[in-house]
Amino acid sequence: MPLLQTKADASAWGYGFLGATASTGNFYQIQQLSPSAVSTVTFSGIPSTYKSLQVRFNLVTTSATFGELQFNSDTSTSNYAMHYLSGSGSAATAGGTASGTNGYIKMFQNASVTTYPSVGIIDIIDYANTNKNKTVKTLVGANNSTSTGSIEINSGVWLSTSAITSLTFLVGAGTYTGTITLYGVS
Amino acid sequence: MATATMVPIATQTLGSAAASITFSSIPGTYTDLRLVLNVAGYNQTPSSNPVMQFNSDNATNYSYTNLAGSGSAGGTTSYVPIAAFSVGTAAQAYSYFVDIFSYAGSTNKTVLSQAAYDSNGAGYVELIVGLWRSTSAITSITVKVLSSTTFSTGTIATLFGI
Repeated sequence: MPLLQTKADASAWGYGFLGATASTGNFYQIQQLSPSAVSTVTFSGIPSTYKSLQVRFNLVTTSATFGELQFNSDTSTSNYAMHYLSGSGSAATAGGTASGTNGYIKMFQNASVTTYPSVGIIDIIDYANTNKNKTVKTLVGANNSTSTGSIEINSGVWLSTSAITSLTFLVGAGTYTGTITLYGVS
Repeated sequence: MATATMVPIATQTLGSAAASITFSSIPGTYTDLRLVLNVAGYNQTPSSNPVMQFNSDNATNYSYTNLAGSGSAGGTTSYVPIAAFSVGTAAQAYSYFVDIFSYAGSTNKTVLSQAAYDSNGAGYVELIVGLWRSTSAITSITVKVLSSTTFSTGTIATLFGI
């Protein structure tokens, strides 16, 4: 699949880089949560009937912190790893965290607090497959209106062949308020 | 029962060159918006970049951070760039994907843009996070290039509701 599609009719390419192509009729809202001043929320009972999942969020946090993602309530540090490419407004950096460090996939580093939302799109391809580990791509960002911001593209892996049936979102500190929506791509 | 979404709200295909593209009277019934813009080239070399504004707001209520090679910050501006790289004149297609989160909500508005073009030997790929410091619901979006140029005939812009 090409990274970009060029079509005379734009109706079938609304999904974006590195993801499955979605269009009207195959992109479904599974559940929407509106957390208010909480540090964790969970999507549970995720059906296995889609090809991919996408999560989109718009969250205001109480602290300059990072977001975390866990699958199936698995908190084992041996099962998660991630890499990132990030722009902070003054430099670009890249790095990663091997398994054995965190019991989650780090999603975003929030440079913004209290007023300006952190946003993101998380793609989880082939989430119900029981023969391979699960790789995640996240595009996340925040800007605090001056010179401070963060824009990142991240990869993460959950070292498990279990089908994903639940997603938990946490923050490293404080709480968050906003909207998190889970979509299925058929 | 899951609800089908990713609905095309409107599509504009330019039959002649235009300096800007505007989507107005955007319904507030979706969670997010996605603007997919495929520019069929630009008609001058303006050493400038495409930007977007909301609700005809021309004040310095915008800011952004981008990731394109070394990364840079734009500080306070009167627009959100959908790409910070300058456009060229050749008939090369420029693809932009702009996600506008909680556009009808009461928080400030944060935007993610993904931009790319390739001209067989040169190219650019870029990520941008932008902010519009307004708690108003977004009801119109205008895309334009900062300095004098026009989008070529055949440029297509589609606004999706998600």
